[in-house]
Amino acid sequence: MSTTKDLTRRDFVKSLGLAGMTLPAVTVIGRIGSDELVTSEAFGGFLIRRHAAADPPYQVDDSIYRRFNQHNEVFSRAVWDKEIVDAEAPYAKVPLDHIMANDPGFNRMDYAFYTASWTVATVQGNGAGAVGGSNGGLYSWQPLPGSFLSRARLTEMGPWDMAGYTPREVTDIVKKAALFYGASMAGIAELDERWIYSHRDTKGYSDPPNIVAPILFEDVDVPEERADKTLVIPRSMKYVISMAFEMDYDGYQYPIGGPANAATGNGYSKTAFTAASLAEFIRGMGYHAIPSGNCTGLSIPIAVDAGLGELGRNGMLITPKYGPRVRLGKVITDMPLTPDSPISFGATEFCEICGKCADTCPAGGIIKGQNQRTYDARNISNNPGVYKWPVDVVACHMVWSTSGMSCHNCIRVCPFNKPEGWLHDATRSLIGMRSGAADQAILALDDASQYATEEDSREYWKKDNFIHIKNA
Amino acid sequence: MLLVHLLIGALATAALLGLFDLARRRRLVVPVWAWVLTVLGLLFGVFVIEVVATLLAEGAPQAALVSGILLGLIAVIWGVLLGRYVFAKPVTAAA
Repeated sequence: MSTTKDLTRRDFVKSLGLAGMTLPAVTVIGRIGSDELVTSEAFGGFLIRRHAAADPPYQVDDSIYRRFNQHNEVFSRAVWDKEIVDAEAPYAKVPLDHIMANDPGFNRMDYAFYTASWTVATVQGNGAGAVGGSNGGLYSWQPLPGSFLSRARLTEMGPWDMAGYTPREVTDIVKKAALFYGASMAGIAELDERWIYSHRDTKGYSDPPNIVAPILFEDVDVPEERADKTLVIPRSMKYVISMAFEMDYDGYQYPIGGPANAATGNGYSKTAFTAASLAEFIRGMGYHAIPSGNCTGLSIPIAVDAGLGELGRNGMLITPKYGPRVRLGKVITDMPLTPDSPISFGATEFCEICGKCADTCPAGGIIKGQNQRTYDARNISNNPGVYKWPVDVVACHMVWSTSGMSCHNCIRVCPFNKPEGWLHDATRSLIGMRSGAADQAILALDDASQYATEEDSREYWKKDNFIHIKNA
Repeated sequence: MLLVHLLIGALATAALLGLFDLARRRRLVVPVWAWVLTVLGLLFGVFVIEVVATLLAEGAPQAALVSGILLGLIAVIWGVLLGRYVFAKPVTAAA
């Protein structure tokens, strides 16, 4: 004999509630596996997935991968590669033409605003903040001459004995110092030699320009530059502090022009100031430090290893809190630190279905479509062997030359480029659930909301942009 | 923005108390599940207003408009259904 029971409305509602609570829990537990879910204000206050160190959120084919030669980087090639130099030469007067024509976004005030923002990076940072070579200006590999450090004779003392602090506490102190000096995010990674350039290029900051010399790892005591420009990193310097610097949100709402370029320059200047200050702090504690902007090594994979974000379709680091709207710096050191581990929060999966950066790239330099990641390179300025969306940086650089300022559309239109706040944090949390349907819905909403569609950058000056600037 | 949050919270509380009063005056027997749906509906309404207010404060009027229309539509349908089937007529027995 069987008994049957009609489903009452009460039972139905109960079942619905139970299913509603159980399904997300099962989904989350099923997806994190052995990884750890963590939340932190540094990530925007929502849950992100912290990977085990042995299971980073990227794939490298070591049979293909070789350390990248900085000589092949597009900013080096813009000095030595005749093909690029010749192609861009006719546009050398474009900035002046813009200024004389008083073009919106490119007028005299725009250029003054933008170029001034680079002051620290170019004047004190040896240009190394963005496009220059290693070991110069604020990016010196040795204690800076004339600094207060030498007056206090701290450099004459041996390494600090950590005086009862645990390595974890020392790590937190170093990260706090990085944030204090100006970083928006800081993380620690064990230095992976694969990310350090095989050769450095002095670019236009030497006479003659484009001196190319190897960067070696050796069992020496101090970092050094030899007479032939060879750089030597002691093998004992096995930690790196990676730092991200938020750039002005409002500046990045406008097309190519003064506000965004000023935001970029400010980011590089902050990088130079902060990396140098942090390096001096570490030297004051009796350890060695190599501060770096874009010089010496690849900042993005180091930042990924340090748990600052994921690699996006646009070839940039996507951070949970600021999206791609960051500049990166790093300090290599032998100070004993506790490494962080890489994180993921659904950015790669979201990039897979999004592609806004590719659709709006004026150079057509970003790969469109789904399942297009590859281990291959598009030209010598890419490094093959990492599974990613390789960007045609030569085409990208050409747009910069023809327009008279650097382009940033791929940062501007990225759905992760949003200001702080509960609403966008909640959206990022949804993205973190890695649901294709939710990602599609968020993308549709983002499209309809028409973010970053302002066209007249003169409007920038009318905005109360300071509400968005942090760590200024 | 703090005042806006306070105002929205006060309005939501007033709306809920108003519904309690309405049910009492009309001698409606509102089952628990209906109260749950009502509270959820009010919370959703608060959420919609907060979204629109936040986006306006952020300087994204288009986003506020789109969110307001999409989410507001859901809130209105929710409210109409509750009004039509729960609060518009006496309910004689709990489900």
